[in-house]
Order: sequence, then C-alpha cells, then structure tokens
Amino acid sequence: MSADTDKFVRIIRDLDRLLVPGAGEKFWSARAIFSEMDSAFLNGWSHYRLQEILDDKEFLVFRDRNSLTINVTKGYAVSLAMIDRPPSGLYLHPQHYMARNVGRVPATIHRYKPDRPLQNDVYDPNARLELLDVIQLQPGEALERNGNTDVLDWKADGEMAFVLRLHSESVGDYEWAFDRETLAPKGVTVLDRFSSQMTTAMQMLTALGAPVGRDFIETGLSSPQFHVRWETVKMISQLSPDLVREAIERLKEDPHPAIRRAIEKSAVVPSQKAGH
Amino acid sequence: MAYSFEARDDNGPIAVEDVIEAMRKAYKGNNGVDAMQCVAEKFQSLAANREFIRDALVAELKRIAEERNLGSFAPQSFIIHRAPPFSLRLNLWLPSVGTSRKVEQEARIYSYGRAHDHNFSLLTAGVAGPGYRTRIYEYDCRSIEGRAGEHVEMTFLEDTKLTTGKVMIYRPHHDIHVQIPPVEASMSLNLLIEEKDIVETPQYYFDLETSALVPMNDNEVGRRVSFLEAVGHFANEDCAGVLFDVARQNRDPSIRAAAVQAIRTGFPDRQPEIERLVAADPHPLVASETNTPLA
Repeated sequence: MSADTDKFVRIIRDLDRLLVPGAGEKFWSARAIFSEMDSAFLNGWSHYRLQEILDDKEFLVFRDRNSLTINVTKGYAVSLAMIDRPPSGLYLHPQHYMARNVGRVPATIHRYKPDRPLQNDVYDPNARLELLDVIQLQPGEALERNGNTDVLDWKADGEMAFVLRLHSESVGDYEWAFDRETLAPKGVTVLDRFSSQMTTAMQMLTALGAPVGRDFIETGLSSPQFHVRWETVKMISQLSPDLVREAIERLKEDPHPAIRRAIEKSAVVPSQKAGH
Repeated sequence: MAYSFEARDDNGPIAVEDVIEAMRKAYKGNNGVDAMQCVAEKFQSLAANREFIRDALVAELKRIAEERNLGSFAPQSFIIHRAPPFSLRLNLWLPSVGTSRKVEQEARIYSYGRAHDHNFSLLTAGVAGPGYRTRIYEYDCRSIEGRAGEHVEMTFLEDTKLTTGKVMIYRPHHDIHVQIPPVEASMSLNLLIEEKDIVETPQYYFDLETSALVPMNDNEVGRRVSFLEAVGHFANEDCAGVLFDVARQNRDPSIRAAAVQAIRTGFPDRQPEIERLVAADPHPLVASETNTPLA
C-alpha cells in the first residue's frame, strides 16, 4: 500500500471509532480528523478502489445523483460531490457536514436560513428562507453546514467543482424542499431508511389485500415516525376495519399535530372504508 | 418480443421451493430466458399466493430492521426469498402524485419514462393492482458501440400492462422498455438470477425521440465509470500504474474507456503511452477516447 492509501485507511478507522451511531453533536469533534482529509486522502481512496476494480472485487462506491460515496456507516458518511449546475430546488437536509473544496476551481455557495425555528417533523408552510451570505470557496478551503438550520446552494462556474464532505448521522428524518423563487417550502421527503421501507411494505400489503397480524400493526402504531403511524391507520382501514376504531382512539392524543388533525377529520373513515 | 403469459384462473397452490427447484433443473448457467419460460406457469401460481408474499415480506422487513449494512437499498423493493443464484424481488409501483420533488425522486427510482434495456434476464409477474404500463421495443446490441448519443435502430413491439396475474420475460440486451406509472398502487414479483453479466456487460438508457443511446451511470458498470471519471482529477503517480492496468485489462470497454479518460485528465504528459494503449485496444469506444474532449 502507498502512503496515501495508508492515510485513507487510517482516517476511516479513526472516523469509525469516533463517529459511532448516536454521536449527535459530538460530530463536530471530528474537525481535527477532517483537517487531514485532503488530496492525499482522496488519492489514497482512489488507489484503494482502483485496486478493487483491477482485482474484480466487490466495488463499494455508489453514485447518488452527483455524489460518490467514499464510506458510509450508521454514524457518518464521507462523499465526493461533483458540483456543476444547482438542483431545481433549495433543500434543508437534516445532516451536518464539513466540506472542503478539493477541485481546481472555486465554488460559489449561497447560504440560506429559515426565517423562524423549524421542527424537522412539523411542516410549516408559512416558513420562508432568507439569504444570509454568498461565499466563494477557493480550492483547499473548507466550510461547515448545520443540518438544523443551513441551506447551502452550491454552484461551480464553468469547470466542475469537487467537494469532499464528512456528513454526520441524520439529525432529523425529513428533508424540506423550498422553491428557488418564492423561498417557500414546497414539500418534504422522508429520509429515514427503515421507516421508508415500513411504509412501502404497508402500501404493498394494502395492495395485496392480505390481512396482517396484530404484532405488525403494533410495530407501525408505535413507530417514532409520524408518517409510519399514519400509514398504519390507512393500512388497517383497508385490511382490518374492525381495528380502526381502536387505532383512532389511540392516536387521538398523538404527539404529532398532523396526526391529531387527520384523526379529527377522518372520524368517519372506518365506516366509509370498511369492507373495501 | 418480450414473452408474455396472460393471467390464468387455475393457479394451484405452489411452494416457493417448488419454483426454485424447477429453476435449478432448467437453468444451465447461460440460458436464463429459456429457463424462465420453463418455470413461467409455476411462477405465475406463486405470484398468486398472497399469503406466501405477505409472510415473506413481513419476514424480510424484520430482517432489515436488524441489518447493519447500509451500502445501498431500493426503498420500493424487497428481496423476499434468497436461494443463490436465484432470488425473488417484490416491487411496489406507485402513481405519479405528490410534490414535484417526490414525483422526480420516484421517477428516478422507478425509471418511469426512461427507456432502458436489461443486462440480465428478468421474469416478472403482476401481483396486485392494475399494473404499470410499458412500451416495448427491441434492438440488436451487437449493432452498437456504446457511445453516448449513438444512433440505435429499434423496432416498436407492443404497448402493454403488467396486470395482476400476467407474467412477462424481458430478454437481456434485446428488449428496450419504458415504464409508465400505474393509475393505482401496483405490485410485481421478479425472479432474478445472479448472472456475472450484470457486472460485466453494460446496460443503457435510450432516448426514444432521437433513437439515441444514453449511458447509464447508476448500475454496476456506470458507478465504476463515474468513479474513474472523478479519479482523473485527483490521481497522482501512485495511481497511474493501476489506472493503466485497468485501462488494459478490464473486460468492459466502457470501464477501459473511462480509465483512458482518467489518465488523459490526470496525466496529459503521458499522451504517447495513451496512444499506444488505445492502438492496442480493438474496441471503438476506447479508440474514441483519444479524440473526445476532456470533461
């Protein structure tokens, strides 16, 4: 192995040790490690993965939109973002990150913040983004994003910019999208992997029309994510109408305001959908 | 054309083991489509077994809850049975509704509206709902080089739906299809074979308006190509030797071509070596790399 590959392996090992799941705000203690994540680190990663291609081994680089994964665990992720055109919207993504421009050209970043405190899982259509500042990030320079409050809009002028990012674990389950023109929210996307799969499975079971056991329903109703609890109610209204009243009674005092509102509005749901 | 088996009313009960056993007998290692035709009726019966599908799905969800590997996952599908080299995958197809971000994200996940071929044999059955619509074309993969924008001769075959009970077989490197979202949530069950081809041969998107080829960057070959394209911007001399080895030795011409491009980007002073390397490679995709402007 080359010195750069050694560096890549050592840094990943250090991150694995420091950023365990549940690290929370301790993420910021990885600043010292991130300061070492430079072009030598990237070269080490390149060498390591090239050897995997050459040796026909399992290749652990994935592409998600314009990013390549360098390493992903439950506690953190390292990625390489390829910046050219900005995306269609502005996104408040609930993950902190430290980012370094590792390309050859500067990148321009517009930094926005919401005009009020937002609770990640409570949608507020009246919130608006406010432009805070515009930053020119020169090659080698770094900046940080607070996943609770910062919306960073990256742009490269001409040539593609490359940005190395160290991401924290999620600090929320929902990504908010904002309109570029009005700076108003235009929807949220569920990020949490397991809850996405839970709701997909519930939609599948509903489409299948095969009744499910009480333990599965219990898992859904006691989910920490409000969208899973709500999907459970929708599923049992189709598959087990006799259990709907009980579920609605239980969710009347749900901690999430959207569930409480929906329960109030859908007091007639069981009788309408029963027997479907 | 893609093979279709219409829905039947006489689906007798069948266990998943029976389908896998029939597949083991029929599959000789290189006859995926033929083997799938042999088991299609049994597979149709299995897809009609709602209790099996429900129980397998709930069991898979429990397994996922305990899993630690976060490499990748597809939120709309579940592998509900594994019997290497075979597996069964259950897919959910949703109508295009909701916010533009959600519609855009789902279109990307489901390949809605994006004509593509497969580099693996695919046996699929409609399990529930009205089913996605699909327009199917065919092409001769031997007639293309694999360049972005390359003209592809394709012939329209049919416009159909994967309705509940229907079974279809898509031929690898032959059938091109574009999926249109269903009007209601629908499900399909796939039988997949772990074929080495999945890694070693390319899969493409197609622009139906211009009959042009669009490289795919989110499959096994595509993510290696994306990685190589980026590496050219960082690689130092430590990497150069490995890059040259990949450019010489990899079986896939797209990967060899991407390695050549990475060398050109990272080591422009090694042009004579690049020219010798390219001259020794018979594939036109690699040859075109000496003329393509760098990204």
